[in-house]
Amino acid sequence: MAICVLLAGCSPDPGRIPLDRTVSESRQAPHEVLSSADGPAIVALGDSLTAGLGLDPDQAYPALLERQLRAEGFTARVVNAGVSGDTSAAALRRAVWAMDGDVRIMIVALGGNDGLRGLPADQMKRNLVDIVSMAREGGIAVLLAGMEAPPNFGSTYAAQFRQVFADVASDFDLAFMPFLLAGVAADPALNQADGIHPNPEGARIVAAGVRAALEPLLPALTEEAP
Amino acid sequence: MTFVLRMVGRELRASWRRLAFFFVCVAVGVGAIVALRSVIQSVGVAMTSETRALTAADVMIESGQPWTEEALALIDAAVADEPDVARMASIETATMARPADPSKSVAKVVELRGVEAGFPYYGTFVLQDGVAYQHALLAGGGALVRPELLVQLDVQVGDDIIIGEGTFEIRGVILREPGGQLGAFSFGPRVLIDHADLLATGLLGFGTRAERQWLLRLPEERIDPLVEALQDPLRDEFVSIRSYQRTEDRIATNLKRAENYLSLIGFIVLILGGIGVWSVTRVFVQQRVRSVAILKCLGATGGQVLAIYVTQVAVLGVGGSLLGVALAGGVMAAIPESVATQAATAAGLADLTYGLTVSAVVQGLVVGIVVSLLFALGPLLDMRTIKPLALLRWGLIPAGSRDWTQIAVGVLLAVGLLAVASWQADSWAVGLWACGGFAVIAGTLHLVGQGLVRVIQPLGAGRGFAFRHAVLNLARPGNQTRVILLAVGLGSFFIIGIHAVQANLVTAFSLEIGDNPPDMFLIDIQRDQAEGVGALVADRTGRSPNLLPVLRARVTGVSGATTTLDTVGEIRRRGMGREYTVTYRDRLEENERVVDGVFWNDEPSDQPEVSVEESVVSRLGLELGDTVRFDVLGRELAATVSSVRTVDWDDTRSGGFMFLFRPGVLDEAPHSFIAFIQGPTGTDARATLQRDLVAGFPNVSVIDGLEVIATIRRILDGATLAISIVGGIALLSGVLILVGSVAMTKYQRLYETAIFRTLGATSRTVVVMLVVEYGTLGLVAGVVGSLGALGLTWALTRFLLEINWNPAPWINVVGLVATALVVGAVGVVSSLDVLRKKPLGTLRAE
Amino acid sequence: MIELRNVSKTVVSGTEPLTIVQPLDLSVAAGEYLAVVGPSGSGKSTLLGLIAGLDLPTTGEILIDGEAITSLNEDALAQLRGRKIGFIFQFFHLVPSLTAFENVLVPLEIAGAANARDRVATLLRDVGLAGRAHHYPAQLSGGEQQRVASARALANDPPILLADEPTGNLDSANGQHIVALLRSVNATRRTTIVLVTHDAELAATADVMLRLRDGRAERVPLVSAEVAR
Repeated sequence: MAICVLLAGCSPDPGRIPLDRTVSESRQAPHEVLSSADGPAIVALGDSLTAGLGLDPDQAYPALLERQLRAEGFTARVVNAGVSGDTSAAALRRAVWAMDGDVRIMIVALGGNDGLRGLPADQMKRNLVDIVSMAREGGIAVLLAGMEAPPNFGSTYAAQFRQVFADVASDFDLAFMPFLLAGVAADPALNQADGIHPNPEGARIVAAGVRAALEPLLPALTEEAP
Repeated sequence: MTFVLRMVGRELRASWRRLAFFFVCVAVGVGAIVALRSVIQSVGVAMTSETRALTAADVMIESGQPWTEEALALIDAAVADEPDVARMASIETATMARPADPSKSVAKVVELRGVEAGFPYYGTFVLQDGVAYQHALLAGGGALVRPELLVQLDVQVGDDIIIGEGTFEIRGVILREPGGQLGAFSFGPRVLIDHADLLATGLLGFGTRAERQWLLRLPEERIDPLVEALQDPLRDEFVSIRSYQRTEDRIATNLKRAENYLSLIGFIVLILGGIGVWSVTRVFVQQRVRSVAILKCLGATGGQVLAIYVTQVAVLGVGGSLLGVALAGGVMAAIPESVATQAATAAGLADLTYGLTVSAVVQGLVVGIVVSLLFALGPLLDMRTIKPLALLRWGLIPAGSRDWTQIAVGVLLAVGLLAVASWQADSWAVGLWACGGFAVIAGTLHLVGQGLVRVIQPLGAGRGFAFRHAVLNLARPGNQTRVILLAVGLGSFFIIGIHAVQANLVTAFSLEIGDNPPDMFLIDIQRDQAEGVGALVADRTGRSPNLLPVLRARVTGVSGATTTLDTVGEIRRRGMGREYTVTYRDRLEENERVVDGVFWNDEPSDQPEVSVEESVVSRLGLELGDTVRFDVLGRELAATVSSVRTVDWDDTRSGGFMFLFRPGVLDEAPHSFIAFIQGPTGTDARATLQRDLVAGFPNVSVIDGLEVIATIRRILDGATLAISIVGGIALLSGVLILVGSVAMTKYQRLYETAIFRTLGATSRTVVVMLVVEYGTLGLVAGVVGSLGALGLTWALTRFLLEINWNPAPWINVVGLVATALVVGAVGVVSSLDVLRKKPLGTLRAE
Repeated sequence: MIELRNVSKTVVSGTEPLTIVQPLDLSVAAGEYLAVVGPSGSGKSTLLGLIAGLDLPTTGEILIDGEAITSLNEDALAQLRGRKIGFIFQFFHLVPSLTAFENVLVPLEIAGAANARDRVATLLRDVGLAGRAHHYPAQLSGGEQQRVASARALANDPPILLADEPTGNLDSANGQHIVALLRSVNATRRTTIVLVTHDAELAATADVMLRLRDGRAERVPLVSAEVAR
């Protein structure tokens, strides 16, 4: 979600001008590098919520998910393709890059930055459709995670926004998780001080939700590589 | 006592011409101080109101979450303790606005702000068509909007727009808005409505992104205590509090720099005036040796004699100070007609009125009299050692040995200077530094003077009459070599010094916000949109935007000659664990400099190569040729460190990157572009460009920084203007005093020049002699002064102003040459009348 | 009136000590007119400076009216001069920034005398300069300047008058005028006079002559003085 990472608007001191070093600043913690080389992979295509902004790399939900799946006996790795600040439009442009390798499942968890910036809902829908179509063409199963627009943009926008995810999911008959941050959003106990990004406890809830929503797609992991 | 007073009257009557320069020195010095104090205070008032207008309040308390009971209780308690406080609520949030007319089905993001009656505490609204702002425009469903919104929604004043659950009538157009905080870059145009109406829009539901604010107005001296008291407890509630001074750290820092600089100039002008006073008093005392001896012979005590001359100095000091105030008044009155009005108007400092302030006048008078006395006292004390015996013997007056009184006066002078300096600069540290620098340069000049005399003495044999006598003059007993060196050296030291500091300061300001700063920021431009965005911007602004490719990358490891870091944890422990925005290009930006290694040429390479910022080297223990591993969008990239760069982070024009890659590898990785552009100037043109950009490239967000930039510019322009005016005043007065100090020394020349003339020296010979003598002194003084100025500039920029030190050698060289030329010219010109006069007249008069 | 006991003066010139005045005892009675003669460099002016308290002797002490001036500080000496000693110099030494009138007025003001302005007018009239009272020294001839200087020397009616080559810079007519003035002052006011000169003719107008040679003094009574009296 960290569109503001580009502009440093997220820093505790909002009174900064986004001119120089702020461009190169973010409070992102690093994550494990997962080579895209061998073996079946799940790619989480997302924004800062996926990247785990403000968390240790192994606290972000993709890492937690991988650990969970391993514990369940799956050998797949979960590639974190979350980029802070990415909108659905930006993610669309790098989807091909993210699909490189033996990717079996793609978790599409986008929209947060579109919503924060009030970007047009129909535009977001087109981007999501394109991403899902590309995945389909590559034989990759898709889990679509939905997002809510913040209420300040009004109920009309919020409704349109919510509808986009529902529509795309049903149009493509996707595995669907209506709200990535279900049970986490707006709960100070589960979020960092910025009120947007989950803390480690919140991330665990997100990971559990994703794991549950992933259930119908898991067979894809055990198939032989094409 | 009557004797003393009568003698003062007679002496002034007789020697006012020679003392006129004393008078002028004091007047110029005091005039400069009064004028610059007034400028500082006027600009300070104007800029304070400008900075206050940024928050529209003295203190702002802000929370991204709904107020907690605890936070409200804390605020209520603190406010209850303040006897004289006003507060009001305000809310800001991004939301959607659409025309009420159903045929227009656009919705645009706007920055909505709800304010209460009484807003703003500071600053004024400027509305289109000269409409005066009043809360009634908002009350009962009214809205004021930025002109961009009218274009984007295709609506007009009088139309209704829908925001949330509410319908609002557009009742006016905001051209300038107080409280539009710096840094609060918005994704949409401002819409201002009543606070109560905003609460009724239904937008503030669970999870809303909105800033809830309390604006406070309270007496200046209560601001800091309140902020300090609330800061820590509120932080626990995730609530921020800040005073208007802290609104923009960098603006505040720059204002502080300007103020420090201006105060320092006050001190320097003071010293220059003091040098003039000292120089003129010294010459005067020498001319009065015989009179003093006669008076002592006739029964006047040392105390009476000293009283006569000290009183004279005091009278001149008072008179000069008064004249100085009048001068300053004249200068200040002249300013609005010339530079200032235009500049101030252009800078929008409407509140800026240049005029004398009472406190500046009082300061000037006090400083003028104190400095006259302090600097004159040293030379005057020499009068005590004048022995009337001189009247019987035409010998040298025995130089009085240093006694306790003189040491005491020396200490008094030092303490007095330090006190005045610290008072003017408003800091003991600055006073100590400046006085220390003064002492060091004075000491150096003294030593150099001694060295010079010793070095040139052998030259006194041969090479023509004029040259030989010039050398003899410099080296003879009782020469004025050291005296002129001291006056001129210190003078050029200060003049060159302040000029160089001024250049540094103005450079720092213009880097902060250049001549044509980008005022529109485009983010999230996708690769396939780059061309289209570029074309559109070029079409509207006449300039192709510089699109910066940005990618996100994390450092995952280092394989180096001395350092090996394999895990992310190790990287994190070295403070490099975060995600970095990186870019690639084949050239350096203006704010970058390679300090180690070689920057690649413009050939792309498929071997990953990276140029790192200086601080990265130490943090990661890197050496050139080491390999740094990056995670770029989930893929590993091992790049060789081929160069190290410094980045001037204060230079905001091109951004700054810790990691810069060689083109060739990252080009194909997915990335977006950002662009800093200078948008069109017209409001409509800007609005149209924004509308068309968003229509053509919906994911691209346009952030309009025009108003913020304009505010910063107004403030910095004000500071720059003040600095330039004051610097000019200081330069002018410095040169005047310097010229005068040198010209004064002609009186010591008169007698011997007359003798040379009597003995048959031509004017030409005498002129050559004077040129060589004064030129040498000017050159030596210029060298010491300009070297000292280099040190002064370095120390001041580094320790007082905390800006980058950019040595400007040409200032020093020009200063050096100018010093030599001016001193030489003044030496000759001031003695011209001696050459014209019949020598006998001069001899008789002596 | 003036008494010198074992007074000598030695100065250091370069590295060599140089004795300008050899130890000397001298007594000048009240109303006496003493001329000190000798070639240049014989220590005449130095002796005069010592008597006036302008310089300190290397040895011995000097008493004026029984008061040892060698133990007085500079300010006390200045006040003593103001009260008791008038000066006439070879180079006149008028204060260039003051008019003739003011030059004469200064010692009266220092002493705080009453009716000072009237007295100055009288003095200037006595030396024949009433009409030039408001001229500056640079506007006066040498003789006129010396007449102003003598008027100034007499302003406070001092019991002692010290004159250092008073005619040295004057033509003979002006010189005669000053000589006559000194004699008349000595005669009418009983002013003690110490005159330093190398002019034998001038010295001959004194009561007593002190001849200095190589720093040694020799007292020579003058017959002509007896005759003149």
